[in-house]
Amino acid sequence: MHGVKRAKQSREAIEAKKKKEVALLADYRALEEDVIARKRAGDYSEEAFTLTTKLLKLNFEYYSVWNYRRQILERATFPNASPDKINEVLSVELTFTSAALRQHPKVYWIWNHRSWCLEHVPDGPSEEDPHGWKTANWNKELFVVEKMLDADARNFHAWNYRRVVLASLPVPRPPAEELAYTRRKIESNFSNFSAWHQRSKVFASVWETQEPGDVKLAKDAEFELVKNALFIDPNDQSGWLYHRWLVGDGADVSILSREVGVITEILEIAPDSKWCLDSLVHYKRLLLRGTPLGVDSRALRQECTEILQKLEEIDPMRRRRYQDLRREMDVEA
Amino acid sequence: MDSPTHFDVLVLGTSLPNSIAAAALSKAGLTVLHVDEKDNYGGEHAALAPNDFSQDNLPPYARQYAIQLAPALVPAVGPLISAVVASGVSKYGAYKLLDALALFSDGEMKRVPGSKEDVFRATHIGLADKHRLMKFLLFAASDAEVTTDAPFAQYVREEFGLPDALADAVVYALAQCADATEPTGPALARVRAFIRSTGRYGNSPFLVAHYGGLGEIAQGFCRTAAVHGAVYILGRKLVSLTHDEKWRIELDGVPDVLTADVLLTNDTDAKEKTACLVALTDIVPHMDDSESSADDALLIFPPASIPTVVRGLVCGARSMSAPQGHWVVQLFYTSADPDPELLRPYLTTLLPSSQPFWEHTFINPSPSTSSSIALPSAENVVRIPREKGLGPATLGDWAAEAAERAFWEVVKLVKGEAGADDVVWFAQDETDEVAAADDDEGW
Repeated sequence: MHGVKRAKQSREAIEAKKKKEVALLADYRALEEDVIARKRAGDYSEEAFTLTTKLLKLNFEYYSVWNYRRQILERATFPNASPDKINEVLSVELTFTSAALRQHPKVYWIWNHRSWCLEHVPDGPSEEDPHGWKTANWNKELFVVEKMLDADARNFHAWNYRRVVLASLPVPRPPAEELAYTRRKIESNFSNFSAWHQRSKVFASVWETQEPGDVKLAKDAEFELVKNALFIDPNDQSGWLYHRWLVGDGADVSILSREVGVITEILEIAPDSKWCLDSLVHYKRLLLRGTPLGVDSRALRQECTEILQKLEEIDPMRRRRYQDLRREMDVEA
Repeated sequence: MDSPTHFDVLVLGTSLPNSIAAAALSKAGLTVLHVDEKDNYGGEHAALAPNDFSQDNLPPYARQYAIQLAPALVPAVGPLISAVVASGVSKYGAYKLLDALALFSDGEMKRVPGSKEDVFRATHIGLADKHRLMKFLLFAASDAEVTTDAPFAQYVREEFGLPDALADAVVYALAQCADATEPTGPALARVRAFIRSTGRYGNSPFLVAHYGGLGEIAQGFCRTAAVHGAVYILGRKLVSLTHDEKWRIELDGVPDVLTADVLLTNDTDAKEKTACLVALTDIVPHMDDSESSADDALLIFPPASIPTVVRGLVCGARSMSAPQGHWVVQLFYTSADPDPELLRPYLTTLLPSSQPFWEHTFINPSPSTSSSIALPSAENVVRIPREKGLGPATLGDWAAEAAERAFWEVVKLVKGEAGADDVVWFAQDETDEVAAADDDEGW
């Protein structure tokens, strides 16, 4: 978990733990041998299924056993089963994985199994309502993902999965709702790459089809939002990365100049902020590349050189990079 | 079957530190006799109903209002919550996060930002000031040592460049200072405790205990003590208390003389008192930034007509302090000789356009909450000393720490220094989960 320190253990505690582990390991190996043998033999019985449950509970990351479990379901359980029965079996699977996720929120194979289950939900419950089960399940999924993100808002597996769920909803949610959700997460703790990233993905898709005027308004609002974060904590990377994405290639010179002004303001109250200095160089170079009329190239270049010198002083570990940037700029001149 | 007449320790009064100590002593295997002349638990920290103050003009469902004699909150991290959890008293009560902490500034109650989240959401603070405030909060949260003679109110302005409104918020709301002369060291420590409490159960450092704060918690500790064998006698007047090889106590209506090896009581010399004006209303006091409505709040008035800070604790139905749609508003301040009438203009400021339907004033501790009999001087007595300058954010933790100190003193007197080695203060085997009243269901 983010920000949680490892607990130190005494030597006695470590040794006692080792002894216990040796015994557990023997049991585990025996179980594993049994299950893999059955898999190779094509054993799709209920007994085999129960054994996969037992083994997975010991090791949720054993993806071959997840595969085996799905084989049993597909080849033995589902054929000749009614849609009701299939839906019921899948509900049990979903409960099984949700319990697993609470303890192991970052194991890819659990998420994978859940996706598979949801994709296999049959049409139903009736001909008049063929999407009923699917909608109910995907909505519940969204609820599950939200609970996971409440527990750890920076679990990128959960954010990834959230995108899968949103894309799979029979009736898609309006982008405004997702924007509101990311905003809530950002407000509660803006040190969260995933939340900003999600926001950028929603906007990227929305802005494809919007009028330029509306896009500019939305972008300006985003600049205000991220400005709040940058002022409060200029050392937090996630805000700066979002800012870079907003500025993009710097084609809009008025935005670029405005943001350079904003960052200069932040620098005044946080003069040693590495990110401020680094971003100023980056954006001033973008201005230089545009070289529209009215941009004083020599002054800008001089400012960049001074900033790079300052960066070498306050961030000596990366001085080669700053020296490199200076060389690049000399070449561009 | 004879009931016991001799005990290891006699505890006088069921105020919070005494109740915590009684529970710890009982759990540690000592025999405890816990006596209070009043009918109710809690002593000077009790939770009372309007009926307990006066029979006139009682509102309907009067018993559903919880009035705290010592209005206080439970910090989310601290000795009190640790004792509540370790003792199992958490099972007996429920808690909710405090909804709002606000400071009176420029004529209105403004919510005080105490976390990065609060600072981000605040709409009335300029960006440069947000940066300065955040820098201060990060510094306060760190272990950095500060040696300065400057009072805290001056320190935050000079070292961090905070403008007056924010400086006051830090000094009076986060650091809970009583006035602008308070020294920096302790104030900074309180801010540190504030920040470290935020986030444990949610975005507030304080919990509100249902059914009347510390009084309800004291009752919980008494219940734990009783479960582990402590004998309780409430509501009996003290006839005599003497010491002759052991402590001997006679209570009105109790035929036996009860005895104990050690006496645990309180220092009665109250150097300062709290004056309180209680009002029951059907309107919650207005706060700005109110997109979310608060059911409870700690409101702070910086020193003004009263030269020390005046606090207001507002509690409603969600902390089971009042019936639905009603609130208990308690305005209070502490000094050597406080006058509750001086609080009336503050009430008018809080509730300018409504009249409370019930009001009362009191001073705590009053002579009636302390024992009516003078103690003979003797050995084998442990007195819990009084502490000055306690407020709603610090009283509970002080009580738990004072209880623990008293606990060890009693244990050493009863069992000797060597015997004390086998004894534990609330063995830490309980799981650390406090039931919050509005906890989400599992998924």
